[in-house]
Amino acid sequence: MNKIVKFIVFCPMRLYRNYIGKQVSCFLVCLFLQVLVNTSYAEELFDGRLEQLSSTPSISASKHQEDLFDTPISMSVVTGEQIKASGALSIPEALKLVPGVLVRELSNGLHEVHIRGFENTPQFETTTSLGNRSSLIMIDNRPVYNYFNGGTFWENLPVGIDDIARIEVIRGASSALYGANAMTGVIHIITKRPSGQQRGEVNINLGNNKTRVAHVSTHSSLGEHKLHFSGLYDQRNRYQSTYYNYLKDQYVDLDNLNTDRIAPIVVQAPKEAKNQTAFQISLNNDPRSEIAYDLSLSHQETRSHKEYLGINATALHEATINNSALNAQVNIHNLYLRLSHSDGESRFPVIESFSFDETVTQGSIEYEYRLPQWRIRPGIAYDEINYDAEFVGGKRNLRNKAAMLHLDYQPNSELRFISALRHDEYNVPSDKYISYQLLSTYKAQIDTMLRVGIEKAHRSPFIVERYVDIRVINPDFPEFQSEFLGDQQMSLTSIVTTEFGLRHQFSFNNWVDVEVFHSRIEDYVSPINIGVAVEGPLTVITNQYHVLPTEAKQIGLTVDWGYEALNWDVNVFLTAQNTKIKDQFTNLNSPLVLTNKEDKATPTTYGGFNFNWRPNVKWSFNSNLYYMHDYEIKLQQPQGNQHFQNWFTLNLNMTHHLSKSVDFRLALKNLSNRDQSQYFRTDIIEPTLLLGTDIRF
Amino acid sequence: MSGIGAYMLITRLSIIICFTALLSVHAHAQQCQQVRINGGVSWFPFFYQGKYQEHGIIGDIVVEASKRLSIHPQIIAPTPWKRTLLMLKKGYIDIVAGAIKTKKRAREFQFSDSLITTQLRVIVRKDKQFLFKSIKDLKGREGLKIRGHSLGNTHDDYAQRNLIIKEVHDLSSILKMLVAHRADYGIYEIHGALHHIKHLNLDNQLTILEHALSEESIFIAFSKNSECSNKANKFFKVFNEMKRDGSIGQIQEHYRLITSASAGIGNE
Repeated sequence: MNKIVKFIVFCPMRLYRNYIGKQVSCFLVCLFLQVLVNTSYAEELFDGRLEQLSSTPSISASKHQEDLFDTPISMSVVTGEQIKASGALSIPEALKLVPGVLVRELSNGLHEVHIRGFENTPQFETTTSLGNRSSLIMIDNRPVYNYFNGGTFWENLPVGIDDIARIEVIRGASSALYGANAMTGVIHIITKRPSGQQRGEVNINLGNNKTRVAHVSTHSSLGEHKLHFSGLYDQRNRYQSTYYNYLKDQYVDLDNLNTDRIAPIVVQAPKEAKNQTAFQISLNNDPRSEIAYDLSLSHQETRSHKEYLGINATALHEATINNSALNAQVNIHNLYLRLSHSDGESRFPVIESFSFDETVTQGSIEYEYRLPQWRIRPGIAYDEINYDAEFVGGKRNLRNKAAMLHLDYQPNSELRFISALRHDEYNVPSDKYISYQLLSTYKAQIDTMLRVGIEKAHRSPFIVERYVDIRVINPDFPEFQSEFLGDQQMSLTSIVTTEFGLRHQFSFNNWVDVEVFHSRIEDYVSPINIGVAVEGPLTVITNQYHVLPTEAKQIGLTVDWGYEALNWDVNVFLTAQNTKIKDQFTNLNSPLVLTNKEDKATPTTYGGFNFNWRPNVKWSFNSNLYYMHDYEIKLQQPQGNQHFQNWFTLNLNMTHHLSKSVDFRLALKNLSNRDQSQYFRTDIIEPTLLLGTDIRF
Repeated sequence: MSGIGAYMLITRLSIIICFTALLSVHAHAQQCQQVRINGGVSWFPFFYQGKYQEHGIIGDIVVEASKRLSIHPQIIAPTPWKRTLLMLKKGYIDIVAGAIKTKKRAREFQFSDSLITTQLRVIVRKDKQFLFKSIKDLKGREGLKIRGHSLGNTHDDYAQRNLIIKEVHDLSSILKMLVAHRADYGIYEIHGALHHIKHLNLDNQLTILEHALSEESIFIAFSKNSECSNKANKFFKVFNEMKRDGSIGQIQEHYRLITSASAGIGNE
């Protein structure tokens, strides 16, 4: 924080010390005054009757459609058009446009995404712990989550960037609305449904590193029912074919990595980052019908690199993941029904025993009862989650029954109180958990909204931590065995977040959204080395899953500012935060030695800039910049630590709208000030040149 | 380049830019050969861009007034409402044909006298009509309105405390949800409602209750910053003349007939 303060104080001073600096300073002052003068026209131009008021609708914050300005929680929406304009080729890339979201690229098209951070809390675990296990990702209300060991496989989502209508991102604990794992927030991906006269679309993007992304969609009407099909092919090579060797502390090729290894790392395609094919079929009717329904079937097959398993040789490894999902949503008057089922298999050649088959069935029933000033929405939910893996001794099950109640009370046009409660009852642990959101908003003026909230959420139980009972041979040292033992009754990791927010529209084209947040996570779970035993020629190290005494506390501020002019718009957002870890262990050997530490894996500041310019109907230009201040990830040996210097990536995108049916695009992406990786010991990020076309028919 | 050299260059450039900008403003101020007109998107029957060169009641009034003043009227391609107001503020367009006057807007734009009024009315299914005399008669029923639309200050307060009103995106959602039994009534401006009911062939299922919920005046707004801002008063005089000579009444009658005949709207 001191560095930021110094930068803010000394930078203008240094600038002022020379003639050019004085002129530039004067120019900046004039520019600032100009903005002030413009914003002094802060009139209530929205305050018209009978006229169209264009505002961004959102549904995720309160489960009913409302203007983004009125949402009672920290929230952002990025639309399909904004994503397209930015030149993003994948969903995580699109999330770089969202405040408070940390997106790091592992290799070409492979990303890890966190909301507000907590990437490396607690420290000194393995790379497995770096994945985001604290945010819930949903596609059309269907959770997409890996309950085996937590997290979301971003490269295995069955939808592409051209399938997206919009992405709604909630920052803050939201288990009371959407169930477990919505600890730091929710990323809700809402896919397109047929509308208007368009019959279909073909999107093709080609770039260096053998980047080939093709998407096709088409739909037809069957009376009042609409059938939609979309298909995706996404193939990309890595930025490099080498792997980081922890022991040699450098990138080496695969043969070199496997030198002296008794059990070699198995990779079918070392150069390939990702090879995915996917499709989605949906059938729906008009959502305003008396009985409205939306059915979708999706399937995807992917071979990709991941940083998922905490292996001792290197960070990236290969995985093959295939899955199918069915999602059904029905709305009858004020009754909302949802049922989803997914079935999949995940194969990890590097540790075969960790491969698993999964079936996940989830359903919910909610009813919205309306009274003057009140919305009352009770509901129930049920999850049946089954995994079959050698690592956990065969078929294992997680089951959850939940009851929800969402109360929304608006005593007058200024004040609003929201209370969301959810009661979860799991089979393991055989315990009950309450999640809540207590929120209030106050519309001080038509253009100013203040809000405050306190929220509690928790993680779901994971199959591995509850059921594992296995001995694993260390391939490099076969005389050593590691025994892992789960514990079904451990408490679940939980978070409590307090937030204050302010939204203000200086004018109808000039707005700011500020949020101050404080979060505390406790009851982390990790395997602790509880003893070493010698059994004949073998030395057995026993690792028992335990709830840790470690706590992480974060305080932060996010500012999001947007300005829209006649043919250009700009959006700037920045988050500043500080995370402290109380009772951090130095290693996982029992008894734990605990100290208080500062977390440095979440940058003290991060944010972005997005600028669109449409000089005429034929051309549009976009530049977007994404920035992270220095950060450092600390893991157990042999993985060790990695320090990352502050970096930015700049993307430049130019689109020629040849006709109503055809667009051509040229994008230069990942221009950066650093020649380094963004994630732990992954590929060094390279610039990408992309050519693309969109053809609508 | 030395610091002083750059300083001189920036200063000279600033002077040139300011000078050319002043010349440009002066040159523009001398010209008002045409007025650029915009309004709400498909705000039938007040402003829209129809396939038979009709522009709605207010649009046609402005076009007729322009002709009387020998100024060429140019209707701008539809833009979102927020953008339309921004364009008017910046002077990129001269006239917004049809807007509600508020105190704050009155400071920002030049407003004509009230030209016509319209009514907010209650739309119901024909088989579920009820007696409606005042807003109190809506109590205990579920209603629909467009998100952000006001019912008027008094009615807004009453509605907030006593009524159940869902907010939807557009008028067709109100009508389709009424037909689908998802609400008991909808609230919208009478002409637009009549037109859409006919356009969607719902006139055998939906009807508009006789009593008005409220009445609103509609105005024409002129930019204070456009090339033709100094012509606003001349336009206002012509509008008043048109009121007196019955031209505005004729235009209204024309659109009343169009509403009855359910004319198509090009940009819907």
